Amino acid sequence: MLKAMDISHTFDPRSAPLRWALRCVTVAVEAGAAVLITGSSGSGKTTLARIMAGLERPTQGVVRLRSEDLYSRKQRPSPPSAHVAMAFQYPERQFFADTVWDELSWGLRAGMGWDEEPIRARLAKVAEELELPLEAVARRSPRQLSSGQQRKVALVSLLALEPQVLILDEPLTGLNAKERRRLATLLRRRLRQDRAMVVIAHELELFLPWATTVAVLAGGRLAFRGSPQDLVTTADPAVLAAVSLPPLMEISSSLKRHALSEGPVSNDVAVVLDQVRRAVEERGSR
Amino acid sequence: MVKIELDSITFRYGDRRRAPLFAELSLTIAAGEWVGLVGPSGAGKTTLLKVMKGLLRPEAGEVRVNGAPLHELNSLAAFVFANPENQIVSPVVGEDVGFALEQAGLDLDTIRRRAEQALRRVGLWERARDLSHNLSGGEQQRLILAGALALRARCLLLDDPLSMVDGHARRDLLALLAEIREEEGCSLVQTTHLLDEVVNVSRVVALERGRVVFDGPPATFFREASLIDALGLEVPPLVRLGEELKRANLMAGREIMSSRQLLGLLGVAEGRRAD
Repeated sequence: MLKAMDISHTFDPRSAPLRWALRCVTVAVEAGAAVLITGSSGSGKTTLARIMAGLERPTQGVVRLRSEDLYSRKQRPSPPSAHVAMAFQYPERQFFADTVWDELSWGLRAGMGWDEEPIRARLAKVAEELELPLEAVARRSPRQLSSGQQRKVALVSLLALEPQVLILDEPLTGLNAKERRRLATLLRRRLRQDRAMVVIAHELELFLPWATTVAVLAGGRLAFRGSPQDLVTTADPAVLAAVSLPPLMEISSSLKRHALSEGPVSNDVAVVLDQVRRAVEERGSR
Repeated sequence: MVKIELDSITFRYGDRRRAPLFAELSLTIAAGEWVGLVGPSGAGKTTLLKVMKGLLRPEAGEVRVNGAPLHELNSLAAFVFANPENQIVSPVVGEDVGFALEQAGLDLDTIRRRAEQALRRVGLWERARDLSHNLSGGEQQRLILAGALALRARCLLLDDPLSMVDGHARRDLLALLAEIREEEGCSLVQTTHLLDEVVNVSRVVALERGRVVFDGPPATFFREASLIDALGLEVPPLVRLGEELKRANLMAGREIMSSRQLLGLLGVAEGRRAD
């Protein structure tokens, strides 16, 4: 559905030698699939997301939404909301209205031409799913909210639009454990509706169980592209250095690599406990 | 050494018709303590930090720093905002770290030396000449932390300072915070949404709707399962694994503080990356 092909990008095209923020990166996402893009701080994740969202023309390469080249036209496709929507790492970057209500309803009203009643119904439903207390915050300025509530307002405004491709840059930032789980479940459910998703995240715990593909960036290059299962069992040092697995998975994966465990790479306390127990016994007998 | 006392403070946003966020709240941060401030979104964590810095003023009660009532900004404490973009002032990374030092009237040599040292500590020295706005979110958070370190403040007020930092760097920065506390006696107050960031703090303070609902060491906090659940938080899986290992007497009663440490005990320590 959305494909970024052979993308190279530099922020300073006149520097010599050229410093590439991204170099020859190809990532694609199909309807009903989720691509998880990870890597260390500064590896190019956000830049790639912006390019895929149609917000930053790449120095080289092509981004196609279905068959349409996102950067071939001078103007952006309209309405943008129905196709590709991006949630920024900093929610306040996306805020422009004076009240939360205007912020949330603008896309449906101006972008999609909806009337007040269906807008109300849609927003109430999405806000409830994310536990945003809509009544309490509707008349306040989005900038006055706590960071967690700002994050929710930004997400509700985008999810309400039901874009074909949703791009989320570090969507868990500012949310607590319960809110994170709720959001991950909600996103996972979207996939069943044949929507496509690109998730940028450095914490993988809540996304690895259902991501279709994982892409790992290291220094602007694609260091890995494959299934979550392949990622957690990889022995490639470059990939291991670029990715931080959840602690239990790291233990489980490491034991497996050192032939101290035959079991699956897991994030479950009971399973990993058992693997550690066996490793202790194994070591004792060696 | 910096001690901060909040004595029976009342604070509210907006006019008097609105309920106060804090009513007669008292809390003392002892010199050299590392306090993890946790609680749901909107509980008042950021507001409390801002009151400690003097950025917000309570309508009643008193804030004291080392025993003296706080009337202006708390100059002994450096504040790190949750959103680093709001705090970066210079277009160039190295200059941003030096900015506050220049304001403090230090000479150029001292500024350069301290800026380099601070950038090295957060792993950003190689980016010193880069444009600040080209840094990623995680790198910008490290830059702001470097600015606070360069100031050599005796107290750091950190508002979710690692939220965008990736796992490896996060681990290194938590170790760095422990180090400056131990070596320099720095007091740290840090808000977070993730309890794995409070495993090593000296004291956890949990806020809910402007009230302190827990105050004690992290190990005790982690046993408060129903409170943790009510606050929307989760005990880190590694802490749960550590408890299970202790119960099964598998690690000779040792506390498990990190996955690396456990792997080391199992004899499978592996170097991940050099920085």
